[in-house]
Amino acid sequence: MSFLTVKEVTKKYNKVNLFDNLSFSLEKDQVLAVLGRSGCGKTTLLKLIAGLISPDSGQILVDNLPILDTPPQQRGVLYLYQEALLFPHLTVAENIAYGLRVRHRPTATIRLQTEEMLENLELTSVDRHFPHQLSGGQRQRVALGRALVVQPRLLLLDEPFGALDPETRTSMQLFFKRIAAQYQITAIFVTHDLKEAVAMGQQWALLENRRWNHYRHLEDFSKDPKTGLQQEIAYWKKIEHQL
Amino acid sequence: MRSLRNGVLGLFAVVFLLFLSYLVVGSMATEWRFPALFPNGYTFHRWEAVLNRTEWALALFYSFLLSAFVSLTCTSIGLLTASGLSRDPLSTLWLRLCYLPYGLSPVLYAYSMQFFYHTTGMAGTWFGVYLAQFILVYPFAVVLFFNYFDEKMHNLEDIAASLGASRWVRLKTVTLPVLRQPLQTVFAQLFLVSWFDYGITSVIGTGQVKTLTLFVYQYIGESDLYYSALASCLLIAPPLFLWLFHRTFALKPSK
Repeated sequence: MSFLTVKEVTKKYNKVNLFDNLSFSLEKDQVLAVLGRSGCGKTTLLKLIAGLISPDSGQILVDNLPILDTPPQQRGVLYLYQEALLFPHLTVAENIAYGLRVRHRPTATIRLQTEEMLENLELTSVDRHFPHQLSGGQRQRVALGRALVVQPRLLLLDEPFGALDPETRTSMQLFFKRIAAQYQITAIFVTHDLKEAVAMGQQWALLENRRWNHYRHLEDFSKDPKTGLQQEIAYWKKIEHQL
Repeated sequence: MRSLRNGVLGLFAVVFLLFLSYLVVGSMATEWRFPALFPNGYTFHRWEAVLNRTEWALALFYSFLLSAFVSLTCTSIGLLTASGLSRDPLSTLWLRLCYLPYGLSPVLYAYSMQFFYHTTGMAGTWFGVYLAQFILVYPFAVVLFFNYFDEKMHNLEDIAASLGASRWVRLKTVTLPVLRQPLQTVFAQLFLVSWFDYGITSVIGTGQVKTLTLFVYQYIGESDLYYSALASCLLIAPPLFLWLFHRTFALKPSK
Protein backbone atom coordinates (compact mmCIF):
# COMPACT_ATOMS: atom_id res chain seq x y z
CA MET A 1 0.00 0.00 0.00
CA SER A 2 1.40 3.37 -0.96
CA PHE A 3 2.32 5.88 1.72
CA LEU A 4 3.13 8.81 -0.54
CA THR A 5 1.08 9.42 -3.65
CA VAL A 6 1.86 12.13 -6.16
CA LYS A 7 -1.06 12.44 -8.56
CA GLU A 8 -0.94 14.25 -11.90
CA VAL A 9 1.17 17.12 -10.60
CA THR A 10 2.01 19.91 -13.01
CA LYS A 11 4.45 22.70 -12.27
CA LYS A 12 5.77 25.48 -14.46
CA TYR A 13 8.87 27.45 -13.59
CA ASN A 14 9.67 30.60 -15.58
CA LYS A 15 7.02 29.51 -18.12
CA VAL A 16 8.85 26.20 -18.63
CA ASN A 17 6.94 23.03 -17.79
CA LEU A 18 8.99 21.09 -15.24
CA PHE A 19 6.41 18.35 -14.76
CA ASP A 20 3.42 17.48 -16.80
CA ASN A 21 0.95 15.25 -14.96
CA LEU A 22 3.67 13.67 -12.84
CA SER A 23 2.40 10.65 -10.92
CA PHE A 24 4.13 8.12 -8.70
CA SER A 25 3.78 6.44 -5.34
CA LEU A 26 6.07 5.24 -2.57
CA GLU A 27 5.48 2.62 0.09
CA LYS A 28 6.18 3.09 3.80
CA ASP A 29 9.74 2.49 5.14
CA GLN A 30 11.17 2.66 1.65
CA VAL A 31 13.97 4.91 0.39
CA LEU A 32 13.41 6.11 -3.16
CA ALA A 33 16.55 7.36 -4.89
CA VAL A 34 15.78 9.91 -7.59
CA LEU A 35 18.33 10.48 -10.32
CA GLY A 36 18.31 13.33 -12.74
CA ARG A 37 20.45 16.02 -14.30
CA SER A 38 20.74 19.51 -12.85
CA GLY A 39 17.68 21.61 -13.62
CA CYS A 40 15.38 18.65 -14.33
CA GLY A 41 13.14 19.59 -11.41
CA LYS A 42 14.34 17.25 -8.63
CA THR A 43 14.56 20.03 -6.05
CA THR A 44 11.21 21.49 -7.17
CA LEU A 45 9.60 18.09 -6.69
CA LEU A 46 10.90 17.85 -3.11
CA LYS A 47 9.83 21.42 -2.32
CA LEU A 48 6.35 20.65 -3.66
CA ILE A 49 6.02 17.66 -1.35
CA ALA A 50 7.44 19.63 1.59
CA GLY A 51 4.95 22.45 0.96
CA LEU A 52 7.58 25.09 0.34
CA ILE A 53 6.09 25.78 -3.10
CA SER A 54 2.71 24.92 -4.60
CA PRO A 55 1.95 22.93 -7.75
CA ASP A 56 -0.07 24.45 -10.58
CA SER A 57 -2.36 21.43 -10.51
CA GLY A 58 -2.52 17.89 -9.17
CA GLN A 59 -2.68 16.30 -5.76
CA ILE A 60 -0.21 14.97 -3.19
CA LEU A 61 -1.33 12.49 -0.52
CA VAL A 62 0.51 11.19 2.52
CA ASP A 63 -1.09 8.21 4.20
CA ASN A 64 -4.07 8.66 1.85
CA LEU A 65 -4.71 12.21 3.07
CA PRO A 66 -4.29 15.21 0.76
CA ILE A 67 -1.60 17.54 2.12
CA LEU A 68 -1.56 20.44 -0.33
CA ASP A 69 -3.71 22.62 1.92
CA THR A 70 -1.64 21.73 4.99
CA PRO A 71 1.07 24.30 5.88
CA PRO A 72 4.66 22.97 5.82
CA GLN A 73 4.98 22.98 9.62
CA GLN A 74 2.04 20.60 9.97
CA ARG A 75 2.88 18.14 7.21
CA GLY A 76 5.40 16.05 9.12
CA VAL A 77 7.51 16.12 5.98
CA LEU A 78 11.11 17.19 6.40
CA TYR A 79 13.30 18.62 3.72
CA LEU A 80 17.10 18.41 3.95
CA TYR A 81 19.26 20.55 1.70
CA GLN A 82 22.66 19.87 0.18
CA GLU A 83 24.01 22.40 2.65
CA ALA A 84 23.48 21.42 6.29
CA LEU A 85 21.85 24.79 7.04
CA LEU A 86 22.25 24.56 10.78
CA PHE A 87 21.02 27.52 12.77
CA PRO A 88 24.27 29.44 13.32
CA HIS A 89 23.25 30.95 16.66
CA LEU A 90 22.46 27.56 18.24
CA THR A 91 24.78 24.85 19.53
CA VAL A 92 24.75 21.30 18.18
CA ALA A 93 22.44 20.15 20.98
CA GLU A 94 20.15 23.16 20.53
CA ASN A 95 20.00 22.56 16.77
CA ILE A 96 18.94 18.96 17.32
CA ALA A 97 16.41 19.96 19.95
CA TYR A 98 14.93 22.74 17.78
CA GLY A 99 12.09 20.71 16.25
CA LEU A 100 11.08 19.33 19.64
CA ARG A 101 11.12 22.79 21.21
CA VAL A 102 8.90 24.39 18.58
CA ARG A 103 6.50 21.48 19.04
CA HIS A 104 6.38 22.33 22.76
CA ARG A 105 7.48 18.89 23.97
CA PRO A 106 8.17 18.65 27.73
CA THR A 107 11.67 19.74 28.72
CA ALA A 108 12.59 16.33 30.11
CA THR A 109 11.56 14.64 26.85
CA ILE A 110 13.54 17.16 24.81
CA ARG A 111 16.67 16.53 26.89
CA LEU A 112 16.32 12.77 26.77
CA GLN A 113 15.63 12.55 23.03
CA THR A 114 18.38 15.04 22.20
CA GLU A 115 20.93 13.12 24.26
CA GLU A 116 19.85 9.86 22.62
CA MET A 117 20.18 11.37 19.17
CA LEU A 118 23.57 12.89 19.97
CA GLU A 119 24.78 9.48 21.10
CA ASN A 120 23.38 7.79 18.02
CA LEU A 121 25.06 10.32 15.77
CA GLU A 122 28.32 10.05 17.73
CA LEU A 123 28.18 13.78 18.40
CA THR A 124 28.12 13.81 22.20
CA SER A 125 31.64 15.26 22.40
CA VAL A 126 30.67 18.29 20.30
CA ASP A 127 27.19 18.92 21.72
CA ARG A 128 28.11 22.43 22.89
CA HIS A 129 29.95 23.39 19.72
CA PHE A 130 28.52 25.93 17.30
CA PRO A 131 28.04 24.99 13.63
CA HIS A 132 31.12 26.89 12.45
CA GLN A 133 33.26 24.73 14.74
CA LEU A 134 32.21 21.49 13.02
CA SER A 135 33.51 19.61 9.98
CA GLY A 136 31.33 19.17 6.89
CA GLY A 137 30.45 15.59 7.82
CA GLN A 138 29.59 16.53 11.39
CA ARG A 139 27.35 19.35 10.16
CA GLN A 140 25.43 16.95 7.92
CA ARG A 141 25.04 14.49 10.79
CA VAL A 142 23.61 17.26 12.97
CA ALA A 143 21.23 18.23 10.15
CA LEU A 144 20.13 14.62 9.86
CA GLY A 145 19.72 14.29 13.63
CA ARG A 146 17.73 17.53 13.79
CA ALA A 147 15.36 16.05 11.21
CA LEU A 148 15.14 12.52 12.66
CA VAL A 149 14.51 13.57 16.26
CA VAL A 150 11.02 14.86 15.36
CA GLN A 151 10.23 11.48 13.75
CA PRO A 152 9.03 12.85 10.40
CA ARG A 153 6.53 10.86 8.38
CA LEU A 154 8.59 11.49 5.28
CA LEU A 155 12.17 12.64 4.82
CA LEU A 156 13.22 14.48 1.68
CA LEU A 157 16.95 14.63 1.05
CA ASP A 158 18.21 16.96 -1.66
CA GLU A 159 21.74 15.79 -2.53
CA PRO A 160 22.59 15.91 1.18
CA PHE A 161 26.16 14.66 0.74
CA GLY A 162 26.90 16.54 -2.49
CA ALA A 163 29.16 19.10 -0.84
CA LEU A 164 31.30 16.54 1.03
CA ASP A 165 34.67 15.11 0.03
CA PRO A 166 34.56 11.53 -1.35
CA GLU A 167 35.77 9.90 1.87
CA THR A 168 33.30 11.71 4.14
CA ARG A 169 30.58 11.16 1.56
CA THR A 170 31.07 7.38 1.63
CA SER A 171 31.04 7.30 5.43
CA MET A 172 27.89 9.45 5.48
CA GLN A 173 26.20 7.11 3.00
CA LEU A 174 26.95 4.13 5.25
CA PHE A 175 25.79 6.14 8.23
CA PHE A 176 22.51 7.06 6.53
CA LYS A 177 21.87 3.44 5.56
CA ARG A 178 22.28 2.42 9.20
CA ILE A 179 20.08 5.23 10.51
CA ALA A 180 17.41 4.68 7.82
CA ALA A 181 17.12 1.02 8.86
CA GLN A 182 17.16 1.88 12.58
CA TYR A 183 14.47 4.58 12.37
CA GLN A 184 12.48 2.88 9.57
CA ILE A 185 12.61 5.98 7.44
CA THR A 186 10.43 6.64 4.43
CA ALA A 187 12.51 8.94 2.27
CA ILE A 188 13.14 10.39 -1.14
CA PHE A 189 16.85 10.74 -1.75
CA VAL A 190 17.70 13.00 -4.66
CA THR A 191 21.12 12.74 -6.23
CA HIS A 192 22.82 13.10 -9.58
CA ASP A 193 25.42 10.50 -8.61
CA LEU A 194 24.57 7.09 -10.06
CA LYS A 195 26.67 5.16 -7.55
CA GLU A 196 25.07 7.00 -4.65
CA ALA A 197 21.59 6.35 -6.04
CA VAL A 198 22.29 2.62 -6.24
CA ALA A 199 23.78 2.58 -2.74
CA MET A 200 21.09 4.58 -1.01
CA GLY A 201 17.84 3.51 -2.69
CA GLN A 202 15.52 0.59 -2.24
CA GLN A 203 13.57 1.89 -5.21
CA TRP A 204 14.81 4.15 -7.97
CA ALA A 205 13.44 6.81 -10.25
CA LEU A 206 14.86 8.68 -13.19
CA LEU A 207 13.54 12.17 -13.92
CA GLU A 208 14.38 13.07 -17.48
CA ASN A 209 12.73 15.42 -19.97
CA ARG A 210 9.67 15.82 -17.72
CA ARG A 211 9.24 12.02 -17.67
CA TRP A 212 9.24 9.93 -14.53
CA ASN A 213 10.62 6.40 -14.81
CA HIS A 214 10.08 4.41 -11.64
CA TYR A 215 11.98 1.15 -10.94
CA ARG A 216 10.95 -0.98 -8.01
CA HIS A 217 13.77 -3.50 -8.53
CA LEU A 218 17.45 -2.89 -9.10
CA GLU A 219 17.33 -5.30 -12.02
CA ASP A 220 14.81 -3.10 -13.87
CA PHE A 221 16.86 -0.01 -13.08
CA SER A 222 19.98 -1.68 -14.34
CA LYS A 223 18.38 -2.93 -17.56
CA ASP A 224 17.13 0.47 -18.68
CA PRO A 225 19.91 2.05 -20.77
CA LYS A 226 18.62 5.52 -19.86
CA THR A 227 19.87 5.10 -16.29
CA GLY A 228 23.45 4.61 -17.48
CA LEU A 229 24.10 1.82 -14.98
CA GLN A 230 25.00 -0.74 -17.64
CA GLN A 231 27.51 1.65 -19.22
CA GLU A 232 28.99 2.34 -15.78
CA ILE A 233 29.38 -1.38 -15.06
CA ALA A 234 30.86 -1.95 -18.53
CA TYR A 235 33.32 0.88 -17.99
CA TRP A 236 34.60 -0.52 -14.69
CA LYS A 237 34.76 -4.03 -16.13
CA LYS A 238 36.88 -2.68 -18.94
CA ILE A 239 39.20 -1.01 -16.45
CA GLU A 240 39.38 -4.22 -14.43
CA HIS A 241 40.22 -6.14 -17.58
CA GLN A 242 43.00 -3.69 -18.45
CA LEU A 243 44.49 -4.17 -15.01
CA MET B 1 47.46 46.18 4.67
CA ARG B 2 46.38 45.89 8.31
CA SER B 3 48.72 48.70 9.38
CA LEU B 4 47.41 50.93 6.56
CA ARG B 5 43.86 50.25 7.71
CA ASN B 6 44.79 51.03 11.30
CA GLY B 7 46.58 54.20 10.16
CA VAL B 8 43.53 55.44 8.21
CA LEU B 9 41.22 54.60 11.12
CA GLY B 10 43.59 56.38 13.52
CA LEU B 11 43.59 59.45 11.28
CA PHE B 12 39.79 59.46 11.23
CA ALA B 13 39.72 59.14 15.02
CA VAL B 14 42.12 62.09 15.42
CA VAL B 15 40.09 64.26 13.01
CA PHE B 16 36.87 63.35 14.81
CA LEU B 17 38.35 64.06 18.25
CA LEU B 18 39.69 67.43 17.02
CA PHE B 19 36.25 68.26 15.68
CA LEU B 20 34.61 67.20 18.93
CA SER B 21 37.12 69.18 21.03
CA TYR B 22 36.51 72.23 18.84
CA LEU B 23 32.78 72.02 19.58
CA VAL B 24 33.25 71.47 23.32
CA VAL B 25 35.80 74.28 23.63
CA GLY B 26 33.62 76.54 21.44
CA SER B 27 30.61 75.94 23.64
CA MET B 28 32.58 76.97 26.75
CA ALA B 29 34.61 79.86 25.31
CA THR B 30 34.03 83.34 26.74
CA GLU B 31 35.50 84.85 23.59
CA TRP B 32 37.25 83.17 20.70
CA ARG B 33 38.13 85.28 17.68
CA PHE B 34 40.38 84.67 14.71
CA PRO B 35 43.41 84.39 14.70
CA ALA B 36 43.54 83.28 18.38
CA LEU B 37 44.35 79.55 18.59
CA PHE B 38 42.56 79.17 21.93
CA PRO B 39 39.77 81.13 23.61
CA ASN B 40 40.75 83.83 26.05
CA GLY B 41 38.65 82.25 28.81
CA TYR B 42 36.18 79.53 29.68
CA THR B 43 32.72 79.61 31.15
CA PHE B 44 29.98 77.13 31.95
CA HIS B 45 27.23 79.73 31.98
CA ARG B 46 25.85 78.74 28.56
CA TRP B 47 25.69 75.09 29.55
CA GLU B 48 24.04 76.02 32.83
CA ALA B 49 21.57 78.28 31.04
CA VAL B 50 20.74 75.66 28.47
CA LEU B 51 20.42 72.81 30.93
CA ASN B 52 18.15 74.98 33.08
CA ARG B 53 15.90 75.89 30.15
CA THR B 54 12.99 73.51 29.70
CA GLU B 55 12.84 74.28 25.97
CA TRP B 56 16.21 72.62 25.37
CA ALA B 57 15.55 69.67 27.58
CA LEU B 58 12.23 69.11 25.83
CA ALA B 59 13.84 69.44 22.39
CA LEU B 60 16.45 66.86 23.34
CA PHE B 61 13.86 64.53 24.82
CA TYR B 62 11.37 64.80 21.95
CA SER B 63 14.08 64.58 19.26
CA PHE B 64 15.34 61.38 20.84
CA LEU B 65 11.82 60.02 21.18
CA LEU B 66 10.97 60.89 17.57
CA SER B 67 14.12 59.32 16.13
CA ALA B 68 13.82 56.26 18.37
CA PHE B 69 10.20 55.78 17.33
CA VAL B 70 10.91 56.33 13.62
CA SER B 71 13.84 53.92 13.64
CA LEU B 72 12.04 51.33 15.77
CA THR B 73 8.91 51.22 13.62
CA CYS B 74 10.80 51.43 10.33
CA THR B 75 13.26 48.70 11.40
CA SER B 76 10.53 46.29 12.45
CA ILE B 77 8.11 46.95 9.58
CA GLY B 78 10.99 47.19 7.09
CA LEU B 79 12.28 43.79 8.21
CA LEU B 80 8.89 42.15 7.73
CA THR B 81 8.35 43.88 4.39
CA ALA B 82 11.77 42.89 3.05
CA SER B 83 11.20 39.33 4.25
CA GLY B 84 7.91 39.10 2.35
CA LEU B 85 8.96 40.98 -0.78
CA SER B 86 12.21 39.07 -1.18
CA ARG B 87 10.21 35.86 -1.75
CA ASP B 88 7.94 37.43 -4.34
CA PRO B 89 8.61 36.64 -8.01
CA LEU B 90 8.56 40.41 -8.66
CA SER B 91 11.09 41.12 -5.90
CA THR B 92 13.42 43.13 -8.20
CA LEU B 93 10.57 45.43 -9.17
CA TRP B 94 9.60 46.01 -5.52
CA LEU B 95 13.19 46.78 -4.64
CA ARG B 96 13.39 49.35 -7.44
CA LEU B 97 10.18 50.96 -6.21
CA CYS B 98 11.74 51.32 -2.78
CA TYR B 99 14.34 53.64 -4.30
CA LEU B 100 11.62 55.96 -5.66
CA PRO B 101 11.41 58.30 -2.62
CA TYR B 102 15.11 59.06 -3.10
CA GLY B 103 14.50 60.56 -6.54
CA LEU B 104 13.54 63.73 -4.68
CA SER B 105 15.51 65.55 -2.00
CA PRO B 106 13.80 65.38 1.42
CA VAL B 107 12.99 69.12 1.28
CA LEU B 108 11.32 68.81 -2.14
CA TYR B 109 9.45 65.75 -0.94
CA ALA B 110 8.28 67.69 2.14
CA TYR B 111 7.14 70.63 0.03
CA SER B 112 5.25 68.36 -2.34
CA MET B 113 3.45 66.75 0.61
CA GLN B 114 2.85 70.01 2.47
CA PHE B 115 -0.69 70.48 1.16
CA PHE B 116 -1.72 67.05 2.40
CA TYR B 117 -0.33 67.73 5.87
CA HIS B 118 -2.03 71.13 6.06
CA THR B 119 -5.45 69.86 4.97
CA THR B 120 -5.31 66.95 7.40
CA GLY B 121 -4.19 69.19 10.23
CA MET B 122 -0.98 67.22 10.75
CA ALA B 123 1.35 70.07 9.79
CA GLY B 124 3.14 71.47 12.79
CA THR B 125 2.55 68.34 14.88
CA TRP B 126 5.00 65.74 16.11
CA PHE B 127 2.86 63.03 14.54
CA GLY B 128 2.95 64.82 11.18
CA VAL B 129 6.76 64.98 11.30
CA TYR B 130 6.89 61.33 12.39
CA LEU B 131 4.68 60.28 9.48
CA ALA B 132 6.67 62.32 6.97
CA GLN B 133 9.96 60.84 8.22
CA PHE B 134 8.43 57.36 8.29
CA ILE B 135 7.40 57.61 4.63
CA LEU B 136 10.97 58.50 3.68
CA VAL B 137 12.86 56.18 6.05
CA TYR B 138 10.68 53.06 5.69
CA PRO B 139 11.67 52.27 2.06
CA PHE B 140 15.27 52.84 3.10
CA ALA B 141 14.85 50.17 5.78
CA VAL B 142 13.41 47.78 3.19
CA VAL B 143 16.36 48.43 0.87
CA LEU B 144 18.85 47.84 3.70
CA PHE B 145 17.21 44.57 4.76
CA PHE B 146 16.55 43.25 1.28
CA ASN B 147 20.06 41.88 0.72
CA TYR B 148 20.00 39.94 3.97
CA PHE B 149 17.03 37.90 2.78
CA ASP B 150 19.04 35.85 0.33
CA GLU B 151 18.57 32.21 -0.63
CA LYS B 152 20.39 30.97 2.47
CA MET B 153 18.14 32.96 4.79
CA HIS B 154 15.06 31.67 2.97
CA ASN B 155 16.34 28.11 3.26
CA LEU B 156 16.96 28.52 7.00
CA GLU B 157 13.40 29.77 7.43
CA ASP B 158 12.06 26.91 5.29
CA ILE B 159 13.99 24.35 7.36
CA ALA B 160 12.48 25.85 10.52
CA ALA B 161 9.02 25.64 8.90
CA SER B 162 9.40 22.00 7.99
CA LEU B 163 10.67 21.30 11.53
CA GLY B 164 7.31 22.57 12.78
CA ALA B 165 7.85 26.28 13.44
CA SER B 166 4.97 28.61 12.67
CA ARG B 167 5.59 31.98 10.97
CA TRP B 168 5.83 33.81 14.31
CA VAL B 169 8.08 31.16 15.88
CA ARG B 170 10.34 31.25 12.79
CA LEU B 171 10.67 35.00 13.14
CA LYS B 172 11.42 34.75 16.85
CA THR B 173 13.77 31.76 16.80
CA VAL B 174 15.52 32.03 13.43
CA THR B 175 15.12 35.32 11.54
CA LEU B 176 15.69 37.74 14.42
CA PRO B 177 18.63 35.90 16.05
CA VAL B 178 20.37 35.29 12.70
CA LEU B 179 19.89 38.93 11.67
CA ARG B 180 20.72 40.34 15.11
CA GLN B 181 23.75 42.28 13.92
CA PRO B 182 22.14 43.72 10.74
CA LEU B 183 19.11 44.67 12.83
CA GLN B 184 21.25 46.76 15.17
CA THR B 185 23.15 48.33 12.27
CA VAL B 186 19.96 49.21 10.38
CA PHE B 187 18.37 50.60 13.55
CA ALA B 188 21.40 52.82 14.15
CA GLN B 189 21.43 54.02 10.53
CA LEU B 190 17.73 54.86 10.54
CA PHE B 191 18.08 56.61 13.88
CA LEU B 192 20.80 58.83 12.42
CA VAL B 193 18.76 59.62 9.29
CA SER B 194 15.87 60.76 11.45
CA TRP B 195 18.05 62.47 14.08
CA PHE B 196 19.89 64.70 11.62
CA ASP B 197 16.86 65.45 9.45
CA TYR B 198 16.33 69.14 8.86
CA GLY B 199 14.31 69.48 5.63
CA ILE B 200 11.23 67.44 6.52
CA THR B 201 11.08 68.65 10.12
CA SER B 202 11.32 72.32 9.20
CA VAL B 203 8.75 72.14 6.36
CA ILE B 204 6.19 69.76 7.87
CA GLY B 205 6.89 70.92 11.43
CA THR B 206 6.28 74.56 10.33
CA GLY B 207 8.56 75.80 13.10
CA GLN B 208 6.29 74.43 15.80
CA VAL B 209 8.08 71.09 16.07
CA LYS B 210 11.45 72.01 17.55
CA THR B 211 14.05 69.30 17.28
CA LEU B 212 17.65 69.72 18.33
CA THR B 213 18.78 69.75 14.69
CA LEU B 214 16.53 72.77 14.10
CA PHE B 215 18.10 74.54 17.08
CA VAL B 216 21.57 74.00 15.61
CA TYR B 217 20.50 75.44 12.25
CA GLN B 218 18.80 78.33 14.02
CA TYR B 219 22.01 79.31 15.83
CA ILE B 220 24.10 78.81 12.70
CA GLY B 221 21.64 81.11 10.91
CA GLU B 222 22.12 83.68 13.66
CA SER B 223 25.93 83.29 13.36
CA ASP B 224 26.14 82.49 17.08
CA LEU B 225 29.29 80.37 17.21
CA TYR B 226 29.07 79.56 20.91
CA TYR B 227 25.46 78.39 21.00
CA SER B 228 25.88 76.56 17.67
CA ALA B 229 28.78 74.65 19.18
CA LEU B 230 26.77 73.87 22.28
CA ALA B 231 23.75 72.69 20.30
CA SER B 232 26.06 70.57 18.11
CA CYS B 233 27.52 68.95 21.23
CA LEU B 234 24.02 68.00 22.35
CA LEU B 235 23.19 66.83 18.83
CA ILE B 236 26.23 64.60 18.61
CA ALA B 237 25.86 63.08 22.08
CA PRO B 238 23.03 60.57 21.38
CA PRO B 239 24.50 59.24 18.07
CA LEU B 240 27.87 58.97 19.79
CA PHE B 241 26.28 57.01 22.60
CA LEU B 242 24.52 54.84 20.01
CA TRP B 243 27.80 54.25 18.18
CA LEU B 244 29.60 53.27 21.39
CA PHE B 245 26.74 50.95 22.30
CA HIS B 246 26.85 49.44 18.81
CA ARG B 247 30.61 48.93 18.98
CA THR B 248 30.41 47.38 22.42
CA PHE B 249 27.51 45.01 21.82
CA ALA B 250 26.61 44.65 18.13
CA LEU B 251 30.08 44.34 16.64
CA LYS B 252 31.23 41.61 18.97
CA PRO B 253 32.22 38.59 16.87
CA SER B 254 29.26 36.22 16.56
CA LYS B 255 29.59 32.75 17.99
